[in-house]
Amino acid sequence: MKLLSFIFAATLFFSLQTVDAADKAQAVSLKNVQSLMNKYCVRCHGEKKKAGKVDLSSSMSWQQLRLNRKVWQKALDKIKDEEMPPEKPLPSKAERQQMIDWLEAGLKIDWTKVKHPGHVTMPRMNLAEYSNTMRDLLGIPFRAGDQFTEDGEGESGFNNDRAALFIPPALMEKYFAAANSSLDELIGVRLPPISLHFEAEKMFMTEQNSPPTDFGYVLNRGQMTLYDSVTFPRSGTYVFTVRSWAIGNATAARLRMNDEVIGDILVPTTKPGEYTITAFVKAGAKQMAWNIQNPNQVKIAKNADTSVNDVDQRKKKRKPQKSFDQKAAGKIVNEQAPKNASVFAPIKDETGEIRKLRNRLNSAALSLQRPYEWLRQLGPDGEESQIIRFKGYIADRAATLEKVKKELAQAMKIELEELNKQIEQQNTERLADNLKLLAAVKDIKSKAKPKKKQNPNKPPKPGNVAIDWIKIHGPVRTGTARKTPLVFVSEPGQSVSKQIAARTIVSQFAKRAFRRPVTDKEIIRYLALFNMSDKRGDSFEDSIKLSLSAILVSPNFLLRTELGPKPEGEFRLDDFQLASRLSYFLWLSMPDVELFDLAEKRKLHEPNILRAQVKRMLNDEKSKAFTLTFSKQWLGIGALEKEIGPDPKKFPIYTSSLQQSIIDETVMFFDSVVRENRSLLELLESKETYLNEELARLYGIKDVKGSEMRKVKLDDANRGGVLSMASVLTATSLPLRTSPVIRGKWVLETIFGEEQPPPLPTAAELPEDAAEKKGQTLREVFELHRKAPECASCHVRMDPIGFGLENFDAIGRFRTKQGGKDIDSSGVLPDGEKFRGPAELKQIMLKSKARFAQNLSERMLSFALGRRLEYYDEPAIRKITQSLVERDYSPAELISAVVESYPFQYQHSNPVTEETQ
Amino acid sequence: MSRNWQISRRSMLKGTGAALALPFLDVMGPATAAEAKAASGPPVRLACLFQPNGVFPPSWDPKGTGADYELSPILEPLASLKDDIFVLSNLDNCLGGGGHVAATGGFLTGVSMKNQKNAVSLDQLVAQKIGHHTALPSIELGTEPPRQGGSEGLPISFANTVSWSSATTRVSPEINPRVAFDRMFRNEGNSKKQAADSKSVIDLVLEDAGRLRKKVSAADRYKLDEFLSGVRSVEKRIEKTLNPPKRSWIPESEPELNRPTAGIPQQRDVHIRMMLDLIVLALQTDTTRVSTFMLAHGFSRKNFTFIGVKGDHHTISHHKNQKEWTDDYTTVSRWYISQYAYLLDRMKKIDEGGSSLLDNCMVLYGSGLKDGNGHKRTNLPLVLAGRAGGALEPGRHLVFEKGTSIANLHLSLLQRMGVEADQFNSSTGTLPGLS
Repeated sequence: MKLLSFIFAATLFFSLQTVDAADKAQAVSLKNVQSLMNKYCVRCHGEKKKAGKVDLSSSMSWQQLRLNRKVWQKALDKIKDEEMPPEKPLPSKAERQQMIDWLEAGLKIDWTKVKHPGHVTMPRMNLAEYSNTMRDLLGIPFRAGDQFTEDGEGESGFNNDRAALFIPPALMEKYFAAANSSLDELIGVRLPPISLHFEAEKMFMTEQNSPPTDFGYVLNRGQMTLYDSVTFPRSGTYVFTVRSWAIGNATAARLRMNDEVIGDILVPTTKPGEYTITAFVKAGAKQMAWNIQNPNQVKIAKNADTSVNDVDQRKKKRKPQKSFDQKAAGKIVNEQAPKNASVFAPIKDETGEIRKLRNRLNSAALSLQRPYEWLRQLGPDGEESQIIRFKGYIADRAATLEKVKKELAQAMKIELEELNKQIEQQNTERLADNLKLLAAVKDIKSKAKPKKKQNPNKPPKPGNVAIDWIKIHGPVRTGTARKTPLVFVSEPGQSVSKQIAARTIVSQFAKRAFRRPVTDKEIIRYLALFNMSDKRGDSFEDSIKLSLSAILVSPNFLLRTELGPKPEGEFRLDDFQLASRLSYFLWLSMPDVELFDLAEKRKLHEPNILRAQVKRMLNDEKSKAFTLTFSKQWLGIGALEKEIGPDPKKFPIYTSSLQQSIIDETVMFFDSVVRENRSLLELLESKETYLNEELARLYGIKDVKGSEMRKVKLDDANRGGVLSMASVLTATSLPLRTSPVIRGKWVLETIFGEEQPPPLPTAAELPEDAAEKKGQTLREVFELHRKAPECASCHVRMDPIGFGLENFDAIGRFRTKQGGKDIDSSGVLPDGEKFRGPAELKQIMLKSKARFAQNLSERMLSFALGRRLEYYDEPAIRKITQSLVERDYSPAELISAVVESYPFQYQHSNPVTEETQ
Repeated sequence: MSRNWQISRRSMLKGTGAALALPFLDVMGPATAAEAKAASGPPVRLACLFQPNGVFPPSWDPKGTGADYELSPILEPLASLKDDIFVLSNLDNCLGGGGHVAATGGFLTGVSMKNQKNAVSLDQLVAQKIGHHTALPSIELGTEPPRQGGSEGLPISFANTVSWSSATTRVSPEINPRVAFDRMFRNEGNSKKQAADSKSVIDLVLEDAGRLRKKVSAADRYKLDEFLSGVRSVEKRIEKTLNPPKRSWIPESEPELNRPTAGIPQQRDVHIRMMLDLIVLALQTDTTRVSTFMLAHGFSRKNFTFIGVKGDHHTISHHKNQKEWTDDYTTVSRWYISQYAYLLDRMKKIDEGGSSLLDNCMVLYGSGLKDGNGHKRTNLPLVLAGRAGGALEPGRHLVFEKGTSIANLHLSLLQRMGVEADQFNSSTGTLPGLS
């Protein structure tokens, strides 16, 4: 439990102590004690100095004592042991006893009489919760992008601490913008998508001394920018399809929109193929720009190769290629194509529409004829890759021609076959000639080229990238396709008026968004916006959008309101409120249909149903949000992604991919323990973990190949459990070296929940590269500072644990030597227990499993509630801890015990207890 | 925050005082003398045109100084405007390495880019100071998109603009004439409708929050107060769109607004003329008082075959003093200057009640490099046109002390735009002899 000084508006009388204690305490006057404290303690532990971050100057009352129980308990111990005050003036024996009596009486609490559920500040969703909720509410992926900033961790140590989630004006602006763009996207997919086609050679090129080829551009350097202006009618997800191939080695291309990177395509082969980038684009006119990209630096490769050519071995042996004059051939192609292209002659009395289509047909046939003419120029013995390219064009353009044919046949009101017949009659020779051209090269298909042996450390020089055309299609529906719409649950039509459809849509949406039943009165207010827009003549979609956008910025959506029957006092959460607490705990999102149904039936709170739901929710993929967030924030390894990290010069192997892997290891391991309901003691010691090749190499484990993380059995007793994971070991190191103090402190605080005081302000810090310079081991350096008595009291606890982990270096590699000397990872704990090395240390840790269980219960309850814990949570923690220990450290039991606990199911309007006697 | 929620939202708005200041402009008196002047007559406006790749110095440098100087071959297209322009000599761009990218970045900042950091540019600083008077604080136009790749340690994409709103934020110019036009003249109706809608949404949300506030515990009331003040800050912004600031000056004649055709024009001269027409339109209608135009990307490889030149601009700028190249180089520069002359000519023909649009403007033309060959950056090619409403007396060739920073020119222009400043980036003073 974290501590803080908290100022309460109300002063409340408090008495939960036993009568006995009260009597004794009454004998000591409060005023008297206060003056003693002021005389002996406050001069150091006051508002000004706050020695050891302890401030004892706050007005003394038993209530204050209990709110800051841990601080005062420590103060009592120090006074009792005569550790404090450390120097003159010293209290007399009687004075000391007076302070002891009063503090003892005040701190003695009869826990059976404490019953207060606490107060969770009205929850504002944090970033993850908001994103997930928008996703589940609208059924489209929500793009927080860089608009939203991460929420910081509150005093609970988690970033779902409601007391720390403020609503600054800038955030409100973002909520308005997000509501608008998300609804735009939702509506975008309901309207007919647009399809645009750009031939590269007709686009703009910044480098005009690099002219296009007949079929597009070959981008060979970063500066060559192929661009054009594109108008996107609606915000939404668009698919960019590019026909491209590599010239030389594998290459890549990058798409930017108004100078913002949209995505990359990896173009691995010289075989022409269609590559796609699917990306969200906001409505409006944009500058679309394409550039060559280093394939080794591709960021968002989402390409799907649907190449038109088969990868096939060539059968026939080919003659050596003769030299080919591209320029001369191009000229001939230009001349011949119009002569040899099929032409469909005008029809008698043709309508304007038919004439238009006929012209389109003829121009499509001409464009198809060009690659045929290129084949003729190349001849069947021509350069293979060229032939393959032109065959690709023929396939593409023939398909376009077929489309136009279909339209024309329809316009002429004849069958397609009939039209084909007519065209064939007019162009018999031409068509036969083309077939011959194609037949001559029918065996030439692309094949995968054998890769040359390369220096594995040096990536091959990327090739150039050819771009033939670009197609844009969208907005399209992304994510899981839904049969039943989530938002547009009713459509206006013959039997349904616009008003009725709107009412159905708005009321169902509001209910889901507010996570509770809504009244007609509420709905009418939102519908008024629909009506206003509808009357103005806006489309049905736009009118609906206005209503929904108000719902998405309503406090009823953005804040999770837990209203009681009366504003003040204690109450039990209703089933809807319980459903939300549950779903934001385990899914970091809104409740689903099943939870809503059970809430509607008022059944969710029934213990057996609640248990079954916890089980179901943990089995759902959505619970990964919980295991990820909880494990990263509890263990403090999320900091690796932000402020903490090893020095890149000293640890060049600590790459960004390794960083991702070490975090993934811990998260996946925790997830598997929860998902498979294995003992939580495995967090301290386990025989398995999750690794990929890069991480396995760091651990010195062989036979793990590839970048994918997978379960691996461990046979080294030093590895296994979070204490030996690179994530934890790196997060508890300094950039240049390990820090036994930080590691020891981490174990005591994070694993066992024992808060350690900060060092004395006079304590000197060791230089970052302390040991190496002097040729001493870190231990030798540390022994010096442990000799100082004012430091020793705490370091005698932290340092041995930290030194027990010294076999792991600052990025978690196992080592036996440091600074040329053997590492001594033996130690003696304050209770006299001896150990040697990480494996033995872990076994000793396991003996303190009860303390671990209590700490984990506290952390879990704190996360579930979204608030720091208070002294009155003690009974709940005891109950949860007991259940955890009795049920073999089962995660499911722990979570169920949390969900069943008094503070989870109840809420009080006031964070401070009131007199209940 | 008020504790009493029984009062109406409107009175609450008034009651909370400082947190809810009146709409922006009502409290803004004319802050400077120039603004006061602007309130009575045509305001001073600024346009900066950037030409990439430098010039061939012997074809640029005019003979003679003061009023009796001779226009050089490149400057010849400005002959009829000689009384309206200054030719400025001996001003240096940022020194230190960096080639085209640094030379472009320094054009309006006078700062040598390091670690991809520049400084706020002249146009953007002016926009930040006086932009609230007009519908748009500034416009940035161009003809080429940012290109990828690097050059001498800086990303080439940085060379697509001379406008930097902060040391790290560059403002990418719009190259599509229609989009630029729509942003200037067609958004108003649309954004007003959106603002009106947002206002309705906000009213509803404020009501929601108010209702909720009555039902929550005292401990949670502050959460709703936070929420309310968040919504009100959105409301303030919306109010500004709904009730735009009063225009301090309304031009006498409203020009015809012809929406450009869609897409980017294929022909380079057509494209540039369209953009220049848009600048005239923007300044004439007082839609903005600050504009920049990148005639091309700072590292442009645009072809000039349409005026009979063999290569692309960048290649010929590395002329190695060979006549066939330097001739082409000069031809391109003269073509660019004739575009500038077209702009000035148009501005001069627009009457603003006794003075021309050009008289009330400052139109800077120049390049970040003197000579592409060797990337020389001293004695930049610069022309300044217009009278800044009387604060400039053009018609002369001004030769400053050797080694004078271009930032001194920036500071001189900044002050004439009514911005109180005695320092701009690396400036060491103002330029003597401009008025």
